[in-house]
Amino acid sequence: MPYKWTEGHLRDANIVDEDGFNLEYNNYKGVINGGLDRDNLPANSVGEDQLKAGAFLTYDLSSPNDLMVQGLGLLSSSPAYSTWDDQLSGWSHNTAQKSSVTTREGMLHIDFCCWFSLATNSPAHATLENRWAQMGILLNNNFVAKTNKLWSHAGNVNMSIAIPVASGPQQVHIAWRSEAPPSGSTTSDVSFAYGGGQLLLINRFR
Amino acid sequence: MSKVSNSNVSIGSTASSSETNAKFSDVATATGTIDAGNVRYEGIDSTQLKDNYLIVRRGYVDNEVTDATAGVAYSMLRDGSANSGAQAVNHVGSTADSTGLLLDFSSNPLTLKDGDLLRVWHSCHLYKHEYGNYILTPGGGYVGGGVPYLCATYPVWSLTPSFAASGTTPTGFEPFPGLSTNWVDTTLGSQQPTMIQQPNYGGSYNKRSHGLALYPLHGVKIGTSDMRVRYTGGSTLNYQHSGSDLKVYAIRIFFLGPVYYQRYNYSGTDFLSFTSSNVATGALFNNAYISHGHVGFMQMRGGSV
Repeated sequence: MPYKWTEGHLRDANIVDEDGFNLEYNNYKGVINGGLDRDNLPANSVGEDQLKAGAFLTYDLSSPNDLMVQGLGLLSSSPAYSTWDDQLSGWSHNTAQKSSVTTREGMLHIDFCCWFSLATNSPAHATLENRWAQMGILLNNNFVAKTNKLWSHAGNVNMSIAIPVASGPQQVHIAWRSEAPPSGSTTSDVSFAYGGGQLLLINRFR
Repeated sequence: MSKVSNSNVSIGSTASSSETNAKFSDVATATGTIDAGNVRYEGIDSTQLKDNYLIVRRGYVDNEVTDATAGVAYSMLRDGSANSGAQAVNHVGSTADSTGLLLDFSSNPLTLKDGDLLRVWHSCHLYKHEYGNYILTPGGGYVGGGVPYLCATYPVWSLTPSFAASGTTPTGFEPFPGLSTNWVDTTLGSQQPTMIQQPNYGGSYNKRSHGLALYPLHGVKIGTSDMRVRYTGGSTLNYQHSGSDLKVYAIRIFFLGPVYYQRYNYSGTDFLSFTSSNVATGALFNNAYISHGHVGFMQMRGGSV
């Protein structure tokens, strides 16, 4: 605890010598010159205006483009959807739009939201039944979050997870898959799309 | 760091009043510009932190309804004087103090500073719409009519104090940066494409689609005018501000539909679109009913990685 000064008065006829003056005065200097701490600062005195940006957390928001299937250079010739061909191997990974950050030790909060559309022109699925897709978040190539199977032909994915992380580089990306094509399907047909994706990483320090 | 640096009074010297005053003036001056360098390492504890030191502001609004089985009806497509394009999700019921899914900051505008992160969550419950034959005849679209119709809700904001706080007419609101202005177009006609962005696309169609909540229109057919969807949709929209301070006066949830997602070709150029349905199909959809909803926001102040 640093020196905490109180108001005092010199008594009449007290002799202030040099050493006495310097001793008292240097206490003031020492406090000002880097010795202030919680005993000198009132409670509830430090707010967002006093805090330096990034003092407690940093964030990384995917931008300026949305995360989306389109334009990833998949097998599909369609710019709008991935096809059965794209997805026959299981999970498809959007590593082209991954987020790479260097975290400090603490918690990494990952938030992802997008819309999705399931095309319905499969020969066995001319109507809207029995189609599903699934999406997930990967941290350093390990799944840390997955949706349940998405059975509606349109909707949203909202995933959020907080993970303890060590200091160092981290990579986060999105993956998706859909059901295997039924027998007789034309594998180049369009299957699944998502767009409007935003990947937000918040690193809260320990 | 504000530093006091002066010499001790030497032994044998005379401490004049002016010299003494100068020394205390040094301290007084220094206390006016104290910063992190003056504070001891680990010198601040949670006691000294105000509430909301990371989350600058937050809040939410619920659109409660008095008749959850009916909800509020939204016309699904503008066709002349009937129906509408983009509409604001308005309140239904008799609660006088509610204006629907509106975050009204007009009395104390939200001030976004450089680097601030604004997060907007919303969700709505699509109770039903009036097109009972939907399952049998999904709407046209990409690859031989295989893409069904849907409707969308999404947040928009007002950067001016003049905005419509009630009703379904979205005066004074605009889309978040990067989104097409079609999302606030109350006169959006039939088969009009609302462009969204293509990564690596060299054209000028730099439109985005983040923050959209999509609602499938299939459900349980009760009759030709009653398709029970019962679907709760919702999205998160994140906006990181850069530049000078920006004042936000309101955030409101809008509705648009029916639309379908497709590759749209115009004059030999392809881009991706949420395209409104044609007049005939749109008229068949007639109304969508949203029974309740929620919108919340959080303004965070951190720093970029």
